[in-house]
Amino acid sequence: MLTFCRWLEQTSVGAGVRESLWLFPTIETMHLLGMAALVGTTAVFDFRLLGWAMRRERVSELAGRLLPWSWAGFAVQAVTGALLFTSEAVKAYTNPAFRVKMLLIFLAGVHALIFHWTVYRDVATWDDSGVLPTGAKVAGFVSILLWVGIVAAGRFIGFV
Amino acid sequence: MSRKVGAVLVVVGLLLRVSSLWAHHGNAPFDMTHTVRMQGTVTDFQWINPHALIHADLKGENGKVANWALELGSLGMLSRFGWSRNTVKRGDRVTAEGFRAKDGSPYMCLVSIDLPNGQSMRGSP
Repeated sequence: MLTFCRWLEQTSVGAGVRESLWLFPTIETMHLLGMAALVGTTAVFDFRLLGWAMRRERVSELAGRLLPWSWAGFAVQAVTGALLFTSEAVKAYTNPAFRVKMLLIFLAGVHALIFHWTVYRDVATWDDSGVLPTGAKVAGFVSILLWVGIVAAGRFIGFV
Repeated sequence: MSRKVGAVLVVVGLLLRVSSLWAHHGNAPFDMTHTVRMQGTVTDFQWINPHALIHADLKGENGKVANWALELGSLGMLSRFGWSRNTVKRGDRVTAEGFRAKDGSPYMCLVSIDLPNGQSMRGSP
Protein backbone atom coordinates (compact mmCIF):
# COMPACT_ATOMS: atom_id res chain seq x y z
CA MET A 1 0.00 0.00 0.00
CA LEU A 2 2.84 2.33 0.91
CA THR A 3 4.51 1.53 -2.41
CA PHE A 4 1.28 2.42 -4.21
CA CYS A 5 1.08 5.72 -2.25
CA ARG A 6 4.67 6.59 -3.20
CA TRP A 7 3.92 5.89 -6.86
CA LEU A 8 0.66 7.89 -6.71
CA GLU A 9 2.43 10.95 -5.30
CA GLN A 10 4.90 10.90 -8.17
CA THR A 11 2.25 10.83 -10.89
CA SER A 12 1.64 14.07 -12.78
CA VAL A 13 -1.76 14.40 -11.09
CA GLY A 14 -0.25 14.12 -7.60
CA ALA A 15 2.57 16.51 -8.37
CA GLY A 16 0.20 18.91 -10.13
CA VAL A 17 -2.17 19.19 -7.17
CA ARG A 18 0.73 19.37 -4.70
CA GLU A 19 2.61 22.15 -6.49
CA SER A 20 -0.28 24.16 -7.92
CA LEU A 21 -0.97 27.70 -6.72
CA TRP A 22 -4.77 27.74 -7.01
CA LEU A 23 -5.84 24.20 -7.92
CA PHE A 24 -5.34 22.90 -4.37
CA PRO A 25 -7.56 25.52 -2.64
CA THR A 26 -10.10 25.17 -5.49
CA ILE A 27 -10.35 21.41 -4.89
CA GLU A 28 -10.60 22.08 -1.15
CA THR A 29 -13.49 24.50 -1.82
CA MET A 30 -15.31 21.84 -3.85
CA HIS A 31 -14.64 19.31 -1.09
CA LEU A 32 -16.36 21.69 1.38
CA LEU A 33 -19.37 22.20 -0.93
CA GLY A 34 -19.64 18.43 -1.43
CA MET A 35 -19.51 17.98 2.35
CA ALA A 36 -22.35 20.53 2.76
CA ALA A 37 -24.53 18.56 0.30
CA LEU A 38 -23.69 15.11 1.67
CA VAL A 39 -23.62 15.78 5.42
CA GLY A 40 -26.39 18.39 5.22
CA THR A 41 -28.94 16.14 3.51
CA THR A 42 -27.90 13.16 5.63
CA ALA A 43 -28.39 15.19 8.80
CA VAL A 44 -31.85 16.39 7.71
CA PHE A 45 -32.93 12.77 7.20
CA ASP A 46 -31.38 11.74 10.53
CA PHE A 47 -33.26 14.59 12.26
CA ARG A 48 -36.49 13.31 10.69
CA LEU A 49 -35.78 9.81 12.04
CA LEU A 50 -35.17 11.29 15.49
CA GLY A 51 -38.37 13.34 15.25
CA TRP A 52 -36.48 16.65 15.59
CA ALA A 53 -37.45 18.12 12.22
CA MET A 54 -39.93 17.82 9.30
CA ARG A 55 -42.28 15.66 11.33
CA ARG A 56 -45.16 16.22 8.88
CA GLU A 57 -43.15 14.87 5.93
CA ARG A 58 -43.51 11.21 4.99
CA VAL A 59 -40.20 9.49 5.75
CA SER A 60 -40.09 7.63 2.44
CA GLU A 61 -40.89 10.79 0.47
CA LEU A 62 -38.20 12.75 2.28
CA ALA A 63 -35.72 9.93 1.63
CA GLY A 64 -36.58 9.98 -2.06
CA ARG A 65 -36.04 13.73 -2.29
CA LEU A 66 -32.84 13.92 -0.23
CA LEU A 67 -31.00 10.80 -1.32
CA PRO A 68 -30.09 12.02 -4.85
CA TRP A 69 -28.38 15.04 -3.25
CA SER A 70 -26.57 12.82 -0.76
CA TRP A 71 -25.27 10.65 -3.60
CA ALA A 72 -24.28 13.68 -5.68
CA GLY A 73 -22.41 15.06 -2.66
CA PHE A 74 -20.75 11.70 -2.11
CA ALA A 75 -19.60 11.59 -5.74
CA VAL A 76 -18.05 15.08 -5.42
CA GLN A 77 -16.36 14.00 -2.16
CA ALA A 78 -14.96 10.82 -3.70
CA VAL A 79 -13.44 12.67 -6.67
CA THR A 80 -12.10 15.74 -4.82
CA GLY A 81 -10.96 13.61 -1.88
CA ALA A 82 -9.06 11.27 -4.19
CA LEU A 83 -7.35 14.26 -5.86
CA LEU A 84 -6.31 15.73 -2.50
CA PHE A 85 -5.06 12.27 -1.48
CA THR A 86 -2.81 11.97 -4.54
CA SER A 87 -0.97 15.17 -3.53
CA GLU A 88 0.23 13.72 -0.20
CA ALA A 89 -0.64 10.03 -0.35
CA VAL A 90 2.14 8.78 1.96
CA LYS A 91 1.51 11.48 4.55
CA ALA A 92 -2.25 10.84 4.47
CA TYR A 93 -1.90 7.04 4.56
CA THR A 94 0.29 7.21 7.66
CA ASN A 95 -1.82 9.92 9.35
CA PRO A 96 -3.96 8.55 12.24
CA ALA A 97 -6.80 11.03 11.67
CA PHE A 98 -7.00 10.05 7.99
CA ARG A 99 -7.22 6.38 8.96
CA VAL A 100 -9.96 7.08 11.49
CA LYS A 101 -11.82 9.07 8.82
CA MET A 102 -11.67 6.22 6.29
CA LEU A 103 -12.76 3.72 8.97
CA LEU A 104 -15.73 5.92 9.95
CA ILE A 105 -16.78 6.38 6.29
CA PHE A 106 -16.72 2.59 5.92
CA LEU A 107 -18.80 2.21 9.11
CA ALA A 108 -21.27 4.88 7.89
CA GLY A 109 -21.72 2.85 4.68
CA VAL A 110 -22.25 -0.39 6.60
CA HIS A 111 -24.63 1.40 8.96
CA ALA A 112 -26.69 2.78 6.05
CA LEU A 113 -26.94 -0.72 4.53
CA ILE A 114 -28.01 -2.26 7.86
CA PHE A 115 -30.62 0.47 8.26
CA HIS A 116 -31.91 -0.12 4.75
CA TRP A 117 -32.13 -3.90 5.20
CA THR A 118 -33.68 -3.92 8.69
CA VAL A 119 -35.43 -0.87 10.14
CA TYR A 120 -36.37 0.74 6.81
CA ARG A 121 -37.94 -2.45 5.45
CA ASP A 122 -41.27 -1.79 7.21
CA VAL A 123 -41.20 1.98 6.69
CA ALA A 124 -44.80 1.77 5.40
CA THR A 125 -46.06 1.12 8.92
CA TRP A 126 -44.54 4.32 10.39
CA ASP A 127 -44.11 6.49 7.31
CA ASP A 128 -46.56 9.18 8.51
CA SER A 129 -45.85 9.21 12.24
CA GLY A 130 -43.98 12.06 13.89
CA VAL A 131 -42.39 9.82 16.47
CA LEU A 132 -40.67 6.80 14.95
CA PRO A 133 -39.79 3.34 16.33
CA THR A 134 -36.70 3.06 18.51
CA GLY A 135 -34.72 1.36 15.76
CA ALA A 136 -35.19 4.34 13.46
CA LYS A 137 -34.22 6.80 16.21
CA VAL A 138 -31.09 4.83 17.07
CA ALA A 139 -30.16 4.72 13.37
CA GLY A 140 -30.58 8.49 13.05
CA PHE A 141 -28.49 9.11 16.16
CA VAL A 142 -25.70 6.70 15.15
CA SER A 143 -25.60 8.25 11.68
CA ILE A 144 -25.20 11.78 13.11
CA LEU A 145 -22.41 10.58 15.42
CA LEU A 146 -20.61 8.88 12.52
CA TRP A 147 -20.83 11.92 10.25
CA VAL A 148 -19.72 14.35 12.95
CA GLY A 149 -16.81 11.97 13.54
CA ILE A 150 -15.96 11.87 9.82
CA VAL A 151 -15.95 15.68 9.53
CA ALA A 152 -13.91 16.05 12.73
CA ALA A 153 -11.38 13.37 11.71
CA GLY A 154 -11.03 15.05 8.31
CA ARG A 155 -10.32 18.41 9.88
CA PHE A 156 -7.84 16.83 12.31
CA ILE A 157 -5.68 15.38 9.52
CA GLY A 158 -3.77 18.67 9.46
CA PHE A 159 -3.37 18.85 13.23
CA VAL A 160 -2.10 15.43 14.36
CA MET B 1 -25.51 -0.56 18.30
CA SER B 2 -24.50 1.10 21.58
CA ARG B 3 -21.22 -0.82 21.51
CA LYS B 4 -20.52 0.67 18.08
CA VAL B 5 -21.27 4.16 19.40
CA GLY B 6 -18.89 3.53 22.30
CA ALA B 7 -16.15 2.33 19.97
CA VAL B 8 -16.52 5.44 17.80
CA LEU B 9 -16.37 7.71 20.85
CA VAL B 10 -13.23 5.98 22.11
CA VAL B 11 -11.54 6.38 18.72
CA VAL B 12 -12.47 10.06 18.47
CA GLY B 13 -11.33 10.56 22.06
CA LEU B 14 -7.95 8.96 21.35
CA LEU B 15 -7.66 11.08 18.24
CA LEU B 16 -8.10 14.27 20.25
CA ARG B 17 -5.22 13.22 22.52
CA VAL B 18 -2.76 12.71 19.69
CA SER B 19 -0.55 15.73 19.25
CA SER B 20 2.47 16.17 17.09
CA LEU B 21 3.42 18.62 14.41
CA TRP B 22 1.94 18.16 10.96
CA ALA B 23 1.08 20.61 8.26
CA HIS B 24 -2.04 22.72 7.79
CA HIS B 25 -2.85 23.93 11.26
CA GLY B 26 -3.13 27.36 12.85
CA ASN B 27 -0.48 29.09 14.93
CA ALA B 28 -1.28 27.22 18.14
CA PRO B 29 1.78 24.88 18.01
CA PHE B 30 4.16 27.83 17.91
CA ASP B 31 5.42 30.14 20.64
CA MET B 32 4.21 33.44 19.17
CA THR B 33 5.56 35.63 22.01
CA HIS B 34 8.98 36.05 20.41
CA THR B 35 11.01 35.02 17.40
CA VAL B 36 14.30 33.15 17.25
CA ARG B 37 17.04 33.88 14.70
CA MET B 38 19.47 31.22 13.47
CA GLN B 39 22.05 30.74 10.75
CA GLY B 40 22.76 27.67 8.69
CA THR B 41 22.61 25.76 5.43
CA VAL B 42 19.53 24.70 3.47
CA THR B 43 19.23 20.92 3.01
CA ASP B 44 15.90 20.84 1.15
CA PHE B 45 13.17 23.13 -0.20
CA GLN B 46 9.71 21.66 -0.76
CA TRP B 47 7.33 23.78 -2.88
CA ILE B 48 4.16 21.95 -1.76
CA ASN B 49 0.55 22.48 -0.66
CA PRO B 50 -0.80 23.34 1.82
CA HIS B 51 2.45 24.87 3.22
CA ALA B 52 5.88 25.10 1.62
CA LEU B 53 8.75 23.75 3.74
CA ILE B 54 12.46 24.49 4.03
CA HIS B 55 14.74 22.03 5.80
CA ALA B 56 18.01 23.50 7.05
CA ASP B 57 20.89 22.65 9.39
CA LEU B 58 20.75 25.61 11.79
CA LYS B 59 23.03 26.47 14.69
CA GLY B 60 21.14 27.12 17.94
CA GLU B 61 22.12 29.39 20.86
CA ASN B 62 23.86 26.44 22.52
CA GLY B 63 26.11 26.14 19.45
CA LYS B 64 24.61 22.79 18.44
CA VAL B 65 23.54 22.23 14.85
CA ALA B 66 20.19 20.55 14.18
CA ASN B 67 18.15 19.90 11.06
CA TRP B 68 15.19 22.28 11.32
CA ALA B 69 11.90 22.25 9.45
CA LEU B 70 10.86 25.80 8.55
CA GLU B 71 7.20 26.07 7.69
CA LEU B 72 6.10 28.76 5.24
CA GLY B 73 2.73 30.09 4.08
CA SER B 74 0.66 28.76 1.18
CA LEU B 75 2.07 28.74 -2.36
CA GLY B 76 -0.37 31.50 -3.39
CA MET B 77 0.75 33.80 -0.55
CA LEU B 78 4.41 33.06 -1.18
CA SER B 79 3.99 33.92 -4.86
CA ARG B 80 2.60 37.30 -3.85
CA PHE B 81 5.64 37.81 -1.57
CA GLY B 82 7.85 37.18 -4.62
CA TRP B 83 8.73 33.52 -4.05
CA SER B 84 9.06 30.78 -6.65
CA ARG B 85 10.11 27.13 -6.42
CA ASN B 86 13.70 28.28 -7.13
CA THR B 87 13.98 31.04 -4.50
CA VAL B 88 15.83 28.75 -2.09
CA LYS B 89 18.00 25.79 -2.97
CA ARG B 90 20.03 23.11 -1.24
CA GLY B 91 23.36 24.44 0.01
CA ASP B 92 22.23 28.07 0.42
CA ARG B 93 23.63 29.83 3.50
CA VAL B 94 20.64 31.50 5.14
CA THR B 95 19.54 33.26 8.31
CA ALA B 96 16.08 32.18 9.42
CA GLU B 97 13.83 34.09 11.80
CA GLY B 98 10.59 32.62 13.09
CA PHE B 99 8.37 31.34 15.89
CA ARG B 100 9.64 28.04 17.22
CA ALA B 101 7.51 25.07 18.24
CA LYS B 102 6.29 25.11 21.84
CA ASP B 103 7.19 21.43 22.27
CA GLY B 104 10.89 22.17 21.74
CA SER B 105 11.25 20.23 18.50
CA PRO B 106 13.40 21.74 15.70
CA TYR B 107 10.42 23.20 13.92
CA MET B 108 9.47 26.81 13.30
CA CYS B 109 6.95 29.01 11.59
CA LEU B 110 9.23 31.06 9.35
CA VAL B 111 8.68 34.83 9.56
CA SER B 112 11.55 35.88 7.30
CA ILE B 113 14.68 34.46 5.75
CA ASP B 114 17.86 36.21 4.60
CA LEU B 115 19.11 34.71 1.34
CA PRO B 116 22.73 34.46 0.08
CA ASN B 117 22.11 37.35 -2.37
CA GLY B 118 21.34 39.65 0.57
CA GLN B 119 17.62 39.66 -0.07
CA SER B 120 15.25 39.17 2.88
CA MET B 121 12.06 37.27 2.08
CA ARG B 122 8.83 37.10 4.06
CA GLY B 123 7.96 33.50 4.96
CA SER B 124 4.39 33.56 6.28
CA PRO B 125 1.44 35.98 6.62
